[in-house]
Amino acid sequence: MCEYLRGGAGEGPSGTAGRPSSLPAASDPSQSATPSQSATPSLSTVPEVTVPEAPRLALGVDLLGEFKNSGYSPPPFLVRRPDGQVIQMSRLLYLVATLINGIRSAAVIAELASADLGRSLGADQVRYIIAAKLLPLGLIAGPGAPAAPPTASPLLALRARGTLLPETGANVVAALLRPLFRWPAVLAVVVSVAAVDWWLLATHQLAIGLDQLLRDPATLLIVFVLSVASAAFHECGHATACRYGGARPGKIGAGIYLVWPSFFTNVTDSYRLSRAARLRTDLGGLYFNLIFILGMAVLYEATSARILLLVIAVTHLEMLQQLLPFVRFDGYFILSDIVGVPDLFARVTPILRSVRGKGRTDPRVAGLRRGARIAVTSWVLCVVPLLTITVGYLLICLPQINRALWRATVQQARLAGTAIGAHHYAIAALDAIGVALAALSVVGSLYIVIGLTRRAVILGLRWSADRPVRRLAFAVVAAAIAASLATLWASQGQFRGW
Amino acid sequence: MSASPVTMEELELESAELLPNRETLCCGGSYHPGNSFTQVGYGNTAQSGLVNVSALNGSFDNILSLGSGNIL
Repeated sequence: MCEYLRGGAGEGPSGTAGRPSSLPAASDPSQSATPSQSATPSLSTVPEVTVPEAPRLALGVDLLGEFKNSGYSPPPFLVRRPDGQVIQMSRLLYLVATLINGIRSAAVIAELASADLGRSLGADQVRYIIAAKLLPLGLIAGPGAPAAPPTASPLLALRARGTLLPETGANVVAALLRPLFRWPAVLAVVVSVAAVDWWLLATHQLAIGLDQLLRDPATLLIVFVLSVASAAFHECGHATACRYGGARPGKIGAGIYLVWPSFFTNVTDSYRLSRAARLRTDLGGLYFNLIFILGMAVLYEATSARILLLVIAVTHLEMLQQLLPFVRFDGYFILSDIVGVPDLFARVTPILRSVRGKGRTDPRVAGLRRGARIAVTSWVLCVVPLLTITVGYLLICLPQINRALWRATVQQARLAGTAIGAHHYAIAALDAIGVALAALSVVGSLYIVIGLTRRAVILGLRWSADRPVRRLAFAVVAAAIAASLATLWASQGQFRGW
Repeated sequence: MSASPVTMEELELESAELLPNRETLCCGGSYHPGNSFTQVGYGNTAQSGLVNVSALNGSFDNILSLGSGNIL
């Protein structure tokens, strides 16, 4: 008998329940916890573990309730582990999790769940749910619990992150700024910024600011510093909106997103908010950009420093950029919350598979409502070619790009040295920023290519595991791609002139 | 009338999914000097994009020029 179904004596029809006959043999459950797949194992990957007589949830597991305004039917439910990992699960799994309290046996849980469901659920099935579905996720305490529960590893995520404002500090800031989200304040800000923009465009003041920049490039340093300040304030907006909606924002920090230095705010707790509150969290950053613009307008009124008008224009451009839905900017989360589907990138593979129409529909797309499915499919059909072309272009021109970036780094360093010698410290600072950015771009482009190659190799190895013909095909294709790229780079002289 | 039993096939379809952290991002450097005012190659126009490089009609030499040698 399979050990995973061992439960408390006297609970099942025969004391220790037997494994249902429809279940195939057990195997390694760890294979299920891959970022690209649903987190629960199939029946073919049932772990062999002992289910306690009275199972209990792992310490600190938080049952968050239904994912509100979901694009799925029926809507999924959310659970948060003590390490902060949020798990979306079906109603039945959630129902069983809510009934687990360290006192109830599997039979009692089954009885209560049956009453709630209106359908008959057996004690053996409850043990199966615990052993095969909940335990591998690190939600159940006791023997068999994974030492390192699986965590999400999303594609195109922020890397090399550091903390600027810890969770406590972010919540203090958010609490202080909360009144800014009261509707009279929002209305006043939006109307005021519209007036500022109209004035800026109608009076051509922007051209004057640009003219000043051309006459004195050192003022670009001011634009840079204020642009960074605007970005930091933007993140305070997300944290404040999250807090205003009733969730607790996490830390605010900085990291590297693709090749860009980036601020971030952890608003994972907003998963449990309503759609409106989630959207407010998404838009909170842009709203704070508007407040920043107002601040710049006021400062301009006080100082007549025309460069501030350029800062206003740059902030608008940053806001537009934030609306891009194809990378993890605000536009991505806005789209995600409008359609009620979290983690759109995780839908790419299942959507493409469902288009092929082979096999059973992946649970990540099976329950999508019609509107959500159309929206997600449209997004996938846009994002896949876009990212493929971008990454493909990066690959084809990788040495050439990095040669140019390296030359730029050297050139900027030389210019910085010259500027320091001439005591032009503002210029030198700009050049130093240029050195850092060019060097960062080199590292970032290599990081993207190495990361994607690593993922492709892992997928290839998984696809060809225990299948020699597939493994050979994978090796041949990989070698052909590498050889083609090397030949292309060499024939175009991309390795010369460093 | 007894309730219909939940089948093992239905249990198999019960699923859970690890959600990534919601981390709102703001690239404060997107329009700072290094990215906003970038001349690419010989005669290419300035650009900023998903990946801040371009090879429209030339090489990538002198990809960045700012500070002492701003090109707008």
